[in-house]
Amino acid sequence: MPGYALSEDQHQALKKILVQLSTDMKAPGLLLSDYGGNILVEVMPAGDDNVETLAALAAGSFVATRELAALIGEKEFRWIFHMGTKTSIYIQCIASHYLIFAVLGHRTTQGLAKLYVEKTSAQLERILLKAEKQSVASAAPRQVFKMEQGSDPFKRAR
Amino acid sequence: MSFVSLSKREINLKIVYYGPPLCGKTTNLEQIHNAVPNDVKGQMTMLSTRQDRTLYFDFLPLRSDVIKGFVSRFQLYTVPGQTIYNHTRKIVLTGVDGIVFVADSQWEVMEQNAESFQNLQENLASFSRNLNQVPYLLQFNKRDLPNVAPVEYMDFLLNSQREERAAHLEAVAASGKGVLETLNIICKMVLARFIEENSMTATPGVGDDIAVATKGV
Repeated sequence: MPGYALSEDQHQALKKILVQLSTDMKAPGLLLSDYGGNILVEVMPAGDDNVETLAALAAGSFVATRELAALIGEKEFRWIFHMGTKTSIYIQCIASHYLIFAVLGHRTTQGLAKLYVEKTSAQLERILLKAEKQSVASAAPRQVFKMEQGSDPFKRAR
Repeated sequence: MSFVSLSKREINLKIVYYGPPLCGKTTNLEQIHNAVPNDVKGQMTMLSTRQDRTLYFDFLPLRSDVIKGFVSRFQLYTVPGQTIYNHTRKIVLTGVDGIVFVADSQWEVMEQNAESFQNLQENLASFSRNLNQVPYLLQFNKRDLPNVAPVEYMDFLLNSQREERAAHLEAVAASGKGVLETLNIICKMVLARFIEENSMTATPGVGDDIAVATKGV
């Protein structure tokens, strides 16, 4: 099953939207991933090494809620909110296969988060729907991938 | 399903360790996490029950520079082996790029190996996919135990009905034997498939490389 590719222009356009969204929502961390946990764009504090794990867990937990939804006769839940004492998490589905994952401080309520994400969702969808139909060959026709011959991807630490 | 960010020069690929309960899937990921240098690995996450059985999945992100000019990011997942968690296995299998089927070599769990392998094929079929479309290999684990089935028998059990026989490796995941070799082979298989699907030019030697690596274990 061929995958999909995000061009440089699309990445920049998504990044611009997310940076603005992050400012509006006063969100210390914001990322856009697909349902497989692949990170498309992130606006996270410098030095945060857990971004991949956050995306994987967010995607896993959100997709699991589809099963919950099915059990009560719903297709899926559009968004979920986990409330902490100081920091909360808001996850919303965009364009059927993508997720906005926002880390929120105490100044942003879930209603406010939903409002801001809804405001940008149409813009995000336009870019994402184009990207998901785009192979690497169409996004970068001259790109050639070559594997280093004879070398293993991973070596034992010394 | 692979995802390429041309701006970040990254290739994202998903590998799932599948197999019956207690076959050593989580142990494989723990040994990989212990073996590889810090600069190529992220945090390992285990979502387990109080009895240390995998409840949802284990997750280990790795990165490699084996493709020139790109960072190859491999997301390693395990599935819960217990029969009741089939919905979770399906979720984890979504968009998979490569599979390691970890089989327990002990005679008494051969039936569970066969059932789990059948379950893998059924779950792939639910996404309209099959094992001819996804690079996979078989790891015969726990070869250090006294009551193990011969490799030829396990190969017959899991491999003989297939048009294209998968490569198999022997391993003792608890001591790390065969674990890194398994990882490197599946990563090369997944990358070879990725290159085949995304490049106009052939990559001679990739298949030879994999065959040599398999023999060496």
